[in-house]
Amino acid sequence: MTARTTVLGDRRPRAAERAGSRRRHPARGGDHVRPPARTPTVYFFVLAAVVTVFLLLGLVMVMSASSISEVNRGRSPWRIFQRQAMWAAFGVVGMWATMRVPMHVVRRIVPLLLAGCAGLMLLPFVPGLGYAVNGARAWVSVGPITFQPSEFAKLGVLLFTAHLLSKRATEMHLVKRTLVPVLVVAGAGAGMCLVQGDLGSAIVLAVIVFAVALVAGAPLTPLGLFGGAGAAAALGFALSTPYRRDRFTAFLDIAAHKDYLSYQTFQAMIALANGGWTGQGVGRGASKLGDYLPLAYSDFIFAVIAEELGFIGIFAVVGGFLVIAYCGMQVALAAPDRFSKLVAGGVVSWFVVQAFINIGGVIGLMPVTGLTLPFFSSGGSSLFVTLTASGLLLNVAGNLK
Amino acid sequence: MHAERRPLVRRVRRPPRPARVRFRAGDLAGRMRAVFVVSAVLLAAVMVRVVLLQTVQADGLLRVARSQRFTERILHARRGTIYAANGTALAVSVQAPTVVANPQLVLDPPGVSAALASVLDLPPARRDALRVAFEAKSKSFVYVARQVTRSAADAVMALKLPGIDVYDEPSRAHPQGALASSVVGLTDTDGTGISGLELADQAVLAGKDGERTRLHDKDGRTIAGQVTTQPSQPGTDLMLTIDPVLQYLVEDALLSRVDALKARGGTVIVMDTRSGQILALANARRSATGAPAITAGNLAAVEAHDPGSVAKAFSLAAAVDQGVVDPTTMFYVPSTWVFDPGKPYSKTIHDAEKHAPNLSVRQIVTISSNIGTMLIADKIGSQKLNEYHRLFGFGAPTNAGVPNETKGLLKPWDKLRGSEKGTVAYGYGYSVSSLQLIAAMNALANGGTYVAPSLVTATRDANGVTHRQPAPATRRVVSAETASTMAGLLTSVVCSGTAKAAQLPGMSVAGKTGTAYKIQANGTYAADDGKTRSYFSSFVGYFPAGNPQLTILVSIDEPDANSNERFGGTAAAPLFKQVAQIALQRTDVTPVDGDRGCPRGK
Repeated sequence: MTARTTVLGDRRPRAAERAGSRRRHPARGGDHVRPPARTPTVYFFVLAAVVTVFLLLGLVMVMSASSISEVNRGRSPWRIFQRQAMWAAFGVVGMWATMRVPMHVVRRIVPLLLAGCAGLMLLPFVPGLGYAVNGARAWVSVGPITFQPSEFAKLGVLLFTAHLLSKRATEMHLVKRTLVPVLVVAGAGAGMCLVQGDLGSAIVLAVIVFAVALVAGAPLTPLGLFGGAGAAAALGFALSTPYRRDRFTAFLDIAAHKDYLSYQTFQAMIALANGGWTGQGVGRGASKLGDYLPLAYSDFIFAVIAEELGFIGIFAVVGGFLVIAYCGMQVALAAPDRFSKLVAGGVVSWFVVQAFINIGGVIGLMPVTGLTLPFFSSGGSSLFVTLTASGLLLNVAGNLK
Repeated sequence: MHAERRPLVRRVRRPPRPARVRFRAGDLAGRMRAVFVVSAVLLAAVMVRVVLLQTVQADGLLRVARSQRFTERILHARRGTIYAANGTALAVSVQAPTVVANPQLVLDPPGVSAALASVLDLPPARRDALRVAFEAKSKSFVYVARQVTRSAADAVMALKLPGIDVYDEPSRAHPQGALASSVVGLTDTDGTGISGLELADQAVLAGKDGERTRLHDKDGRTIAGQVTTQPSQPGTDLMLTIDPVLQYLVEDALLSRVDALKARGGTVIVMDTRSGQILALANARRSATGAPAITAGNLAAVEAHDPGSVAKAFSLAAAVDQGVVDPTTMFYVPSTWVFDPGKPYSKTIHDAEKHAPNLSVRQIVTISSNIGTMLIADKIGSQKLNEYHRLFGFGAPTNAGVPNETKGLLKPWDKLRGSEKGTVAYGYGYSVSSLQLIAAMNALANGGTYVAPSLVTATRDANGVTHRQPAPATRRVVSAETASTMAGLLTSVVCSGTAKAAQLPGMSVAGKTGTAYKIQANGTYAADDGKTRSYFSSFVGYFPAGNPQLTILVSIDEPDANSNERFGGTAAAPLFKQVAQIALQRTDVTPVDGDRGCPRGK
């Protein structure tokens, strides 16, 4: 806070003071000099390895799952892969940036990020910019680039929540000072997602805030109440129209609705069974052929992984998320400051919950919500934001106490 | 500022309202561990579900996967051709057009069904059934008419009706018409044998259908390199023993004879004495319209009858073989015999005609005396006679390759009751098929050696390799001397006995007539009025008697009971002569001296 409130005139004397201090104690350094690099822990390397494998495997599977359906539509088989690879490149740059930038700098721009996200969230409603996919008006198209603002909102809300709850670390027992403000932000963000018709993003947004608040130590009773209220709201939304209600309840009896309401899930289950233990081999899955399984390369890429890589592939993916969760926990426990801890906890919860909701929908454990599988599903903004968030996690992991 | 003002306010407010702080903040490390535990539980739930889908539920899902992703097409195997002995094809597989419909694509059900019915000449009931199927639209495939003519199929295609299609499927054709259908049998529309050799040799004739399986995408596009073909294996061809010309003439003669006698049916079998090969086999039966027709089922092997007097030949052969009688042995033969006199179930039998009381064995067989034959057989006893019957092949199938062949009924000797002990000697109390009967007589013709009848000489497999059938099993039944003696006795039957109508000019014939009463609906040999009987008249013989080459069985089923031509010697023997003369033209049977017919003056 001091940095923000310092008037411009104060900076020069303070800089001079820091310079003098450095002259007197050369070993101590100043805050504009990089602190001596800490040796990254094993968690950093493990996380970096998982992220790398996920990113590369995801690109391969998007290639495998999308090329035939693109060819059938008379387009280049590389089209979706190229777009995904381009966003992966952006995402790696973003990840590198978030990995290197000091955490206190991140904290400084949190309000800016939140405001930016709020602005982006309005863009889908701007005529000429926003457009709808599968009934959700959640996309923005600017020139050649299309993106989903709610993906960025997830990161923005996460950082804001972590920032606020670390700033008010001593007031966690005061609901009005801590829980209410973050829930207002979460509610606003989730509400905008719902207005866009994107229940999945709303749920993830709410879960991120809930998780950060939980890790931050918010009292369980009000947290539970708010959580229950949020769940009730989500349920209400899911049951709000007959179509949504049918879609929602179809997962309870997938075989009975396999021709229409739970067609995709049933096809995904077939793909899973067909994969067996070792899979058909990359590229040899049949679900993607002629859209037996529509959107195989995005929401349902887990089914393609299951069919082509079998149980081994599934174990690697689910196990990878478990490794992320474990390393994230260790990183959060060992992080030097509260903000870093909360960011690590939030990112981990986000990845795991979004992966669970996606995979759960694919394998029929829960209704299909239209969320992507982090790192794997085709979808530029999703991949970019996932990698950026991974960068933050790696940032924390690389600077443990 | 904000952060500095806050403690001040708290200090002011806390003492009066300490209850304001109602909640306690949690511990970050503990909460973080809880988050991990929840994450692990969620991911574990995913793995459990995955494992369930891949193991317990996998089979059902894979079935669906297979049915929606793969399409199989049956590659019909060419069914084996059935050839007659000279290479004439009797049954071949050809491609026949079949008209099919996809009701879901038919636009005008009443109009289309009416148009198809008129072009294909369908009955009104079939037309209405098609209209109902077209209107229901519940199926995507129905047959309109199977295996129609090419011109009818072309006419259907010329209508260019949506949803109506024609494709070729294998169909069975008979280039020689119904020739030898009693032996060859029939197939159903799907090409599966339902009678005759078509049924008996279904497994080898059918071959093995192949299959073409292709992986296709949801829109039906075949995936390159994902087509697997299991080629079909053509069926095996059969070469029969049947001489088609002889068969044709035999069928013709049989039908005329059955028609002339107003009989229910009849059977003729011509057998090569040495090899046991059936050269011709025809069964006739009056159809529903009243005209006699060659049957597609081999009644000669499927139906069994009491053999009647023909069986006297076997009783006599047994006694001669045992050495207890010779042709000159004399018997006192009463014209009437009473079984179990004085008992409630006593039974009286008569000989057909009055005769002198003292008869030689030769006379007994020549006039076909029931009581005389019984007395001869009594010399060897029921058990011995039964052993001979089994050696002659009664009570066991011939295994000539006829489906559903009967083994007849031959009771063990100690199960014979009352008069049966006597009547088995002259052919009542057990039953045999015509095929068993000719095989038994053929054993006498073949010098006392039984040779199993056969219908197939060779098979030709899918690779064109011909496999000769192994020679049929043989066994000695009676000695050669006995067979020779029997030839003399049976020649007497033809020359001076009941079968004079079977004489051939310039050829000595041995044989035995039989006129059996058929069992009536009430289980006895006479209907309830005690008079109405139906007959099964037969003649089984062979020639030349000294060196037999051909054995022929003729039987007439239920000749007109009021006609004089209802007996074996009058109904069957003339047909035997006719068939024998035809057979002589088809074979090179040449009699030697002493074998050129009946001695003059007898």
